[in-house]
Amino acid sequence: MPITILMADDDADDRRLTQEALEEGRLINEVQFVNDGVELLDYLRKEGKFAPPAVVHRPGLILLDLNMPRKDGRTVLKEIKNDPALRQIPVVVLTTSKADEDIYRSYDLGVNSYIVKPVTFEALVDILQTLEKYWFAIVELPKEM
Amino acid sequence: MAERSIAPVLKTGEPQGSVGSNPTSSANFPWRRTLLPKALLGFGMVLAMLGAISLVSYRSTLAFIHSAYGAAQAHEVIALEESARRDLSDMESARRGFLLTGNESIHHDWKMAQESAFEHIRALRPSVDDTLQEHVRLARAKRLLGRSLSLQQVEIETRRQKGAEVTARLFNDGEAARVTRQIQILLDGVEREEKGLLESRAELMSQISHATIAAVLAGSALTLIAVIVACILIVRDIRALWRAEEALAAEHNLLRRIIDALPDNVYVKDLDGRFLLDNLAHRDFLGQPSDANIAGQSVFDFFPSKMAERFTEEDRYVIEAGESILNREERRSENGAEIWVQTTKVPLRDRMGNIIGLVGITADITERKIAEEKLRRFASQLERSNAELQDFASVASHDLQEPLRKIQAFGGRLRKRCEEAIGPVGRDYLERIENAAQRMQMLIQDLLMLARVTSHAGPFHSCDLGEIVKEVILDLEVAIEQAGATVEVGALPEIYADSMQMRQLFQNLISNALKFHRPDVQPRIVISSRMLNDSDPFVGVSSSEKPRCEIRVRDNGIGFDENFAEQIFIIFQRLHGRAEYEGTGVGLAVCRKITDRHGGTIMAQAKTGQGATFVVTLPVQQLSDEVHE
Repeated sequence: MPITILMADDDADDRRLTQEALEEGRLINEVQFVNDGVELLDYLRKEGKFAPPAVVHRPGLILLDLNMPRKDGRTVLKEIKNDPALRQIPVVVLTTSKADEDIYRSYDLGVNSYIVKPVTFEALVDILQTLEKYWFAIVELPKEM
Repeated sequence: MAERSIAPVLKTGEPQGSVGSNPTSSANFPWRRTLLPKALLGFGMVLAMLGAISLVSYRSTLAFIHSAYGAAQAHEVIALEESARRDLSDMESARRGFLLTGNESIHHDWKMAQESAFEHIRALRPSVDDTLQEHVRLARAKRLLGRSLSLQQVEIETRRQKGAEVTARLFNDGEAARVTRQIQILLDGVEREEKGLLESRAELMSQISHATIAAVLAGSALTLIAVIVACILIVRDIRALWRAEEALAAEHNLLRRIIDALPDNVYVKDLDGRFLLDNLAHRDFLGQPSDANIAGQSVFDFFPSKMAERFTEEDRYVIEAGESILNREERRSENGAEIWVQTTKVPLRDRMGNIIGLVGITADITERKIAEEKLRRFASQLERSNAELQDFASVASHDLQEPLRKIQAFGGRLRKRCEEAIGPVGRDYLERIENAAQRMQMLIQDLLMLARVTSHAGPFHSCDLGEIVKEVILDLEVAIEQAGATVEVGALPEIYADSMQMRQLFQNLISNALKFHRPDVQPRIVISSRMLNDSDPFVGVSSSEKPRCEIRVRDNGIGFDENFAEQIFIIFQRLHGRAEYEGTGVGLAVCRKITDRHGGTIMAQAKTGQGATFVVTLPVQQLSDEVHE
């Protein structure tokens, strides 16, 4: 069963581009999208609109945008990494911000990678392929509990 | 004299003029100390001399009186004695006549003469100064007269009874005649004595009168001299006094003119809050004519009672606590208009330090206040607009980046999936859109970099500029090699600065020098530094005495027209077309912002075709809380 990638981004354009990039890269993984930090945590904790009977799979990788409405990426990152049940899930920040402070703070909070959103579509395809290869083929992740 | 201050003005029952608190005032005014003693001494001397003259006159007058009395006595004695002698001689003639003739009428004459002689001799008394001898003579004369009488009586009786022959013998040699002669001799002695006395008295009186005249003349002369000397001295002192009074009056006038010349209200009040004096401005402020005298009046005469009470309370505080109110600013409503005044009130003390009133200075600072208010409003407006600009620059550039990225991404998608469909014209448009988007991205990134000079400012700490420049050159190694440039770096100081920004500063300057090299000349960049002292024209007048360093980055590139030397530091200002040199025109603006933040300066010196020199000055030290924004 393919591993689910969960992407949290409020930008519909970016979601569309990511979707297209996954298709173009012929990636086998299923991608789920949430619009903001609140939805992301609901998804992970199976709460709100993701509460049973909705069926959600625990993601194998989280792509996190930093600037989101309601609850931004920094706060979500902090909550995930402080939550014993969630902190094993690798989190990759995918954001437009190149600010040193954002980079430093994200790693400080325990992010696994920090990627600045590429300008071109080709670069995005490349990044997603690389991510898939790295996280799902190269590294070993803890077995789902 | 000046330090006597306004003492004479303040004639508040203190003749000494207490305000100046000058303990040596008598030293400044010698006439005060000497005038009275001089006058007393002078008059004393004159009085003493007049006394001496009077005494001498009195004494000599007494002597005169005494002498005159003695002389009168002596004359009397002489007269009596002469009468007595005449009587004796009459008696003798009568005796002889009777003895010859026995005529009874002659006897009668004798008797008469005899009585007269008795009377005269008895009346003879020695005068005051007579000698003992004189007394003896007179006593003997009296005694002898008695005896002579009885002898003559006997002779007369004998003549009557026995006739002329018997008595003829007695005529010349008789006892009676002898006694009479003896008396006459005695009387001669008396006369001699008295005349002698008279002579000596006359001589004495002449001596006394000479001496008296001499003494009175001398005394008068001395008195005259003493009076003249005393007058001269006193006149001199009085002149000095007049001069001192004139000087005081002049000083008083000068002080009055000085306080009248002051534009602020100046006034002096006594302990009861009554004005003692004030200046022109104050009278004008009170609406009084310029020559009005408000002495003795109080604030209640000029201000509404509520205001006057407040002033009085203030005055009481100054006087009772002995503390000054300094430069207190307050807002007042004056005839409906709002004014600002600045008041200073200080206690006024006498020489002993006792408070005797207060001095007040009130200035109308309305204009200054309005200007300050304007300035403050302007400053806060500027601060706000600066902050807004800062926010705008950083937020806008972040938010602008998003749609830009979309333009680029979907442009890419369009090119990828619909390239065939849009045709060659569509592809040309697409290319232009993509180029524009790329340039906009650069602009945004540079704008963000400029905003970050303040929004991402690091702390000041000690940094070795030599080390920083070395790292920058290492970073730019590829570009330097490509241009075939040489970079010479002199000794650079260690200063307090934001190291990241110093890095950015030198990176921008060196990149700039590399970028604008002359195509036919090998680029050469020289970085040098020196410490500045205060006399250096680059430091400027406004700089404090903080030590500063100057760093020069000189190149041999294309240079530029010196007229643009300031313009190049303005954001997005470029001197060349994009086709010639790439870039957005932000690099030097960032440099200026960095030097501004450090309290330094940056300027450019250049000539077209002859290279450019960028001169940076930076403070060596930074106060930890100092921010130049």
